[in-house]
Amino acid sequence: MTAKIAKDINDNLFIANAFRKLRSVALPPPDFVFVASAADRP
Amino acid sequence: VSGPASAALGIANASLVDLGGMLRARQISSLELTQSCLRQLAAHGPTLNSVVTLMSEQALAQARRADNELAAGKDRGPLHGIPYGAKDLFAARGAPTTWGAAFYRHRVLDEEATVIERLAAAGAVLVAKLAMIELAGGMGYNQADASFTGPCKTPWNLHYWSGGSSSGSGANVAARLVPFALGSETDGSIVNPSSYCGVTGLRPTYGCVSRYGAMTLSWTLDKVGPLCRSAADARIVLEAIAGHDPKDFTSSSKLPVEAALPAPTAPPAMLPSGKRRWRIGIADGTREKCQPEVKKNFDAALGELATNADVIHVRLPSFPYDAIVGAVLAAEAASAFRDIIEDGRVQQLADPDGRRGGYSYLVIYAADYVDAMRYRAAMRPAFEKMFDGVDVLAAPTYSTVAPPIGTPFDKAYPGTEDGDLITACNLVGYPAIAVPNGSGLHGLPTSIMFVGRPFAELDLVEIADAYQRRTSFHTRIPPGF
Repeated sequence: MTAKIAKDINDNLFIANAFRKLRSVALPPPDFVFVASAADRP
Repeated sequence: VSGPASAALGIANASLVDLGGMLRARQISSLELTQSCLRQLAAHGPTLNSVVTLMSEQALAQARRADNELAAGKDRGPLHGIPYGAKDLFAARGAPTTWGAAFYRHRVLDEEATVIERLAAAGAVLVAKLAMIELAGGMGYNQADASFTGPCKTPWNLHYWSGGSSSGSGANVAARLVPFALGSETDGSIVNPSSYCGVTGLRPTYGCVSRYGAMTLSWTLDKVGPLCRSAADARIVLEAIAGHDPKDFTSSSKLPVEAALPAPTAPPAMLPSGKRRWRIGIADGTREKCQPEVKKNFDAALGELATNADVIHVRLPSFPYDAIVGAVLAAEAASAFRDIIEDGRVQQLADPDGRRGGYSYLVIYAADYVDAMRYRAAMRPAFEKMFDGVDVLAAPTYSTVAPPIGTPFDKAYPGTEDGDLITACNLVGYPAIAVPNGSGLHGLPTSIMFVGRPFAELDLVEIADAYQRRTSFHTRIPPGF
């Protein structure tokens, strides 16, 4: 189990690697929805 | 049980409009319909592993109320008196809400999901909470036996999986045990059981339907939608559940049904076929790694629509979809389920992958999550541009028929591969409808999917309805049901 979890954690690197390959892509800011006041929620 | 009650009542293939008409003409009562569904679910649910909880007492009370209201001249609209089932991820008072996980099997939530409230307000009768993949597959799974209720089976062949995670919603609608059901989708969970069970599933635009009272797997991906016998039925259910909910700030005030609503008991006012010429986009590589029967049925479906459609080849924007959805799902699911990961309850899940998946989710890089959200922001203009030249995209919903129970999914059909369309469109929040389009290996259903622009659900219903008016795949009933 522990070995498999370790492998899973290592497999997370596929995400970083996929993104790293595309470092030259100009990405916009993340599309988070955060507002200072609940009344301003969309 | 052969000669099921629904057949005896002559309602096995009745549309929601048909059922509404029968109720109003006093040819049948809501109580009779509800009793029939409860009997059917009790008889076949254990065979299919498709039911978690029958809501008998409440359902019968709701049905009596619906009958009394109709008799008194109070008509709540096209769903008045019609029974339905809900994936067991929606909170409903009076029954456990298990999310498909053994450690929640006795948990009763003291709240009602907004969609359940809205369907009650529309007069619909909740008869059962339906089986689902544990935690909607949020911790990962690679086998059909990933629920405390066991592997849910497609009624077309009991050795094969129903699909998931809205497993019972697909199986029970296909087997005609309920007229419609509610499901949810994060990355395929409505269209997958729709495809494997041969029903019509509508995944609405992100934000179209409130998720209040539904289990959260991913705040930025989860959607709620109906699984039905036809596209016309799906529209009726969508109309009842769509719209802003103050309890879910991510729900939109924009409706997919801004056009004139149909009268309560009339069929949806869709354009008759032949009045509009469709531009159907097919993404490159769509058919490449499908089973031959899936490919053949997809081409035949396009052929059916050819008299009023042009097929246009498009290129799906190039993004690392698997990495993006991997980062988003892992980070959001780790937060949503942090308690059960950290206290070890995940190790009680049925699927071995699910028992350990959460641990790696907890250590996903924050930078990867932020990058994933930046990619999603970049996907939006790219998808708008792709849709400039087309009304809808079409693709085989899945590249294969349902996999056999007992075989890990990744070993079931070597050489096949599902395309990126489902994941890509879930990431941008675009709606889709999956429609049965024939049979494949082992007599199991195949399916075609149409994807539309945000809040273009009516376009999807229209084209799916046009297809269903010309074909009869959606009226096929699995043998023995």
